[in-house]
Amino acid sequence: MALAPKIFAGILAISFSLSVSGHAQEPPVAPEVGIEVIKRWLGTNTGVGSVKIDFTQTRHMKSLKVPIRQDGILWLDFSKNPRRFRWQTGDPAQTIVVGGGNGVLIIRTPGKKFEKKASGESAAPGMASLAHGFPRTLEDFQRKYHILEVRPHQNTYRILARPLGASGRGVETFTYVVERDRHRLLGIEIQLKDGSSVETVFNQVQANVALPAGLFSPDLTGYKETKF
Amino acid sequence: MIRIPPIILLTVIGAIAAFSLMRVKFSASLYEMLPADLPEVQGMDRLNRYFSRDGQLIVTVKASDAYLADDALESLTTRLREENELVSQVFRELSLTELVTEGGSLLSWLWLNSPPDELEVLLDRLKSGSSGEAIAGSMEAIQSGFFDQNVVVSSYDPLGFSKLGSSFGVSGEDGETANPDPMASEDGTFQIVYVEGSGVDFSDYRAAKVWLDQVKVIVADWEKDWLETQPPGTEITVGLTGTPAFMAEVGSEMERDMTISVIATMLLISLLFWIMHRKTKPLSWLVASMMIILIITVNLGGLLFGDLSVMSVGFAAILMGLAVDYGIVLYREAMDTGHDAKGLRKSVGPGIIWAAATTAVVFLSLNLSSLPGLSEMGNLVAIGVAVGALVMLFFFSPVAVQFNRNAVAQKGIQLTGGGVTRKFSGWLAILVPVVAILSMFLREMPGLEANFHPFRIRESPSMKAWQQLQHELLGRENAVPTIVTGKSLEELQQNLKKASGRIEAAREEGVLQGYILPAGLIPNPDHQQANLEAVRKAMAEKERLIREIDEVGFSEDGQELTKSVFEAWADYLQQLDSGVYAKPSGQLAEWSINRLFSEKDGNFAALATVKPTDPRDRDWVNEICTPDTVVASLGSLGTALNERIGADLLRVFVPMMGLLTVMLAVVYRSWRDLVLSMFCLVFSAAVIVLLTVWTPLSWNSFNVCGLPLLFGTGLDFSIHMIFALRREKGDVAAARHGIGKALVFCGTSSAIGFGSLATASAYGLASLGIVCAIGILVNMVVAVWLLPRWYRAIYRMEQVG
Repeated sequence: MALAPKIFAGILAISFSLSVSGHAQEPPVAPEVGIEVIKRWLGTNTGVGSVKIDFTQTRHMKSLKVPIRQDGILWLDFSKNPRRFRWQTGDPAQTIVVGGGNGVLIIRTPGKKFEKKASGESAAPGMASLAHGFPRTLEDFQRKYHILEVRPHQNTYRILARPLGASGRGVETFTYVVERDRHRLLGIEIQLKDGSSVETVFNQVQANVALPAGLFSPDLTGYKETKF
Repeated sequence: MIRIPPIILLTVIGAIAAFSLMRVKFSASLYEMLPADLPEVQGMDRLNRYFSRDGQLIVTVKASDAYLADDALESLTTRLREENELVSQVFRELSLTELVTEGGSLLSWLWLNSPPDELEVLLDRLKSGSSGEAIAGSMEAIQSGFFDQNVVVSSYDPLGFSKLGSSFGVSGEDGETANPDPMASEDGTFQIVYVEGSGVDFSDYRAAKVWLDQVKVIVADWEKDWLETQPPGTEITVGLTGTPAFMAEVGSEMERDMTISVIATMLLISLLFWIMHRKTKPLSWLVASMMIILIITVNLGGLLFGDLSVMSVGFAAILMGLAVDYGIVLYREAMDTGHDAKGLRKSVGPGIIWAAATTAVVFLSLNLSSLPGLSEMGNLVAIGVAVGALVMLFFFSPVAVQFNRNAVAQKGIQLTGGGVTRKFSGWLAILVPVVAILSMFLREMPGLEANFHPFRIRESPSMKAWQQLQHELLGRENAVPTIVTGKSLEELQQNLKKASGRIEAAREEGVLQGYILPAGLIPNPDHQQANLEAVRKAMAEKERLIREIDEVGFSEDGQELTKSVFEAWADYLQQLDSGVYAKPSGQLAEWSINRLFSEKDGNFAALATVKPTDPRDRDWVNEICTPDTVVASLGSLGTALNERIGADLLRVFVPMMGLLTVMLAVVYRSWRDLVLSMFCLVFSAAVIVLLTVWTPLSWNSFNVCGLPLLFGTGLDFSIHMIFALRREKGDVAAARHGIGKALVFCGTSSAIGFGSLATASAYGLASLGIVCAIGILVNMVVAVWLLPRWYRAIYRMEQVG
């Protein structure tokens, strides 16, 4: 099978809205249809060894007066076991999070500080749990999520799921927004149990991208270790 | 008197006996029947005394996935909260929002109670100039968008009150021990909720059972309703455990055991009497006499010992099996001799009194055992046989005389040789001991089971739920509660410090894997007093800090935890103005601290947890335990009991054997009889060894205490038979017809008494019943069928008989 990088280019953010408010809701599809939708979505990852996602995230925190909106990039490397990821927000990067089997490294560039966390120390709700282990098969997905419903909405399917186990603590639901025709992931909504929410829109998804050397092992020269 | 219809007699006395049995109160505390000087037993006692809440039920839910478990427990919690008359409080894992609203008072107290140098780090962070940096750091973490638990907590705690110092829970190597989730398994499929009961006295197991039964109905109704809302095929398992469940279960099981064993013994002995004598009227009076013995003994036992332990439950059945023998002796003597009551007492009274006295002494010898539960049972049987002898002599003897006055002597059943020839008995005498020895070496040496289950209730749903809880909750498996006590808070703190040193040393040696010592969660008056002024100063900064948080962009929700910390500090400072130390206030704070700290009757206790590398080993126990530091370790308790019982056997059994050998030599004045009697014991022991090696029969620290009883009955039977053979000049048939029949009845009735315990709920009691029943039957068969042949063989060599 050819593993030449395929580039899913195109700005998708403008083609849909993650919010369903203001629209008449369609009823959820039958469970077996929902499973088929999820299978097809996960099937789009077949043969994908790495992914680069440019995203825009909007956080409505109950503890904050105003929402926070930020752009960022997530790299996922499926070719290594355990999988590796790099998450960064801001341009230039304000926060960089790099993870693999040995734990998580969090870097805050403005203060030139970093923190190393052991694996399992940061039971992570929200996007972090995705970065730790993006589901790749239906079995994997069902092990990590309890599927509540799959609902068609405009040109998307909204897969509503509840995360299971420790990584789901504090999270009420995940909504994966999948393109209706090609079943590609367009974005994710996370509803936290305290009433906060995080909406992430994937602006651009590139599969099998070249991963620059040092992407997952950033240079910490001049940085000071701390506990955030 | 004997004109009273049997049905009325049995109904009236049976009702009184039932009433007496119903009044018996059982102690559901298993540790009360164990050696009180063992640190493991002291640990169980102190864990129960300081940290067990009589009315706190733990409800467990296991589902196929975390969502179902969560949904089920949420629904069940709501349902239980509606039961105001039965349930005062339901406590389940708090949500983040609840933690924010409830957590302030706990955090506030923890900081007030912390070492002054740790508090100083927090207060430095709160100072003007530093606080802005802390708040900005929290905001930066939230803005990063990479949410882990810490970031979510930071969003509600911009000043970092939840970043506690190092003194809060010192732990060992593994993360599991360090940070276990007390309410849910790692995968979330198993979750628990604490239910605080109300409306009954939970120290009374009967009241606890009534309450528990009501809760069970509610839970069953809820489960049915909830499953109806779920897709077909959904399954969940709900378990009830904790103190009220254990109490209700153990108490009611003990009542059931006693009732079943007494009724079964009565019925089987009645059947045996009927087979041997074919008469119902004397049988009804015999049963009535046994019930009178039971009534008197039960009431005397209640007066002398108060609540009976689970092991004492068996006394009634054993007593029935022993006491009936005296009645049979009187009945047979009246039948054979035609004596009046006085004459009857004169002829067999001394024999009965001596038999009762020797039996009582054997049972009283159980006081030499290290097990208080066994001693109590021995004392009850000893009292019972003394009462039994008197009741039979003075109540049953006139009846026995009346029934035999005009009776024609009955032939009754005849005992035959059962095909046991001299040659056969000779081969058996050689083969059985040889095969037993070979079996021991070739297959396995009989030994004591190194576990605690002899003292547990079999098939216990609450124990199963408890074991599942220990297994599912991360870090709970093999975690041993460790209780540190002190007569004052200062002493408790000192003892904790010393215990910490010993425990850390044990971890370094590798006998412990890890531990949690909640030093920071134990009230420390010195710290609180030392922190008083610093906290007062910090409180003056409250308005500024709230303003800074507000200005950075934290909402009212984001400020709530900070505000509640300051409010709680105000409350604690008031407490300190009027008392020695501040106690945590608020539901979460009280619940959390009370799980680890207790003040009762002027004593103070802290609950730590250790995780031994090998739970059954005792090295770690010896290393960390002192009079003020004890462990509730069931794993090492089995080993400790085996060590103790082994020592008991050596201490009691060996001298007893020596003494009895000397006594037998004096009694027999014949080395052949002495050797024969001792060989009967060896032969019976060999049979028991064979059964142990080749069948599921096993020994544990409880049933092994039956050995002296078997030893006593074995000697008793052989003495009776040897004297009969002497009287009959070696005539085996004559000896069997006389004493043989008596031994068969006595042996069978005693075996019935012990054997009826086989269905007992406690493993130990059931295994004691089985071992003793088998042992007595073996002794009986040896004495009645083999001993006469061996007697003739040993004496025929010298042309006797």
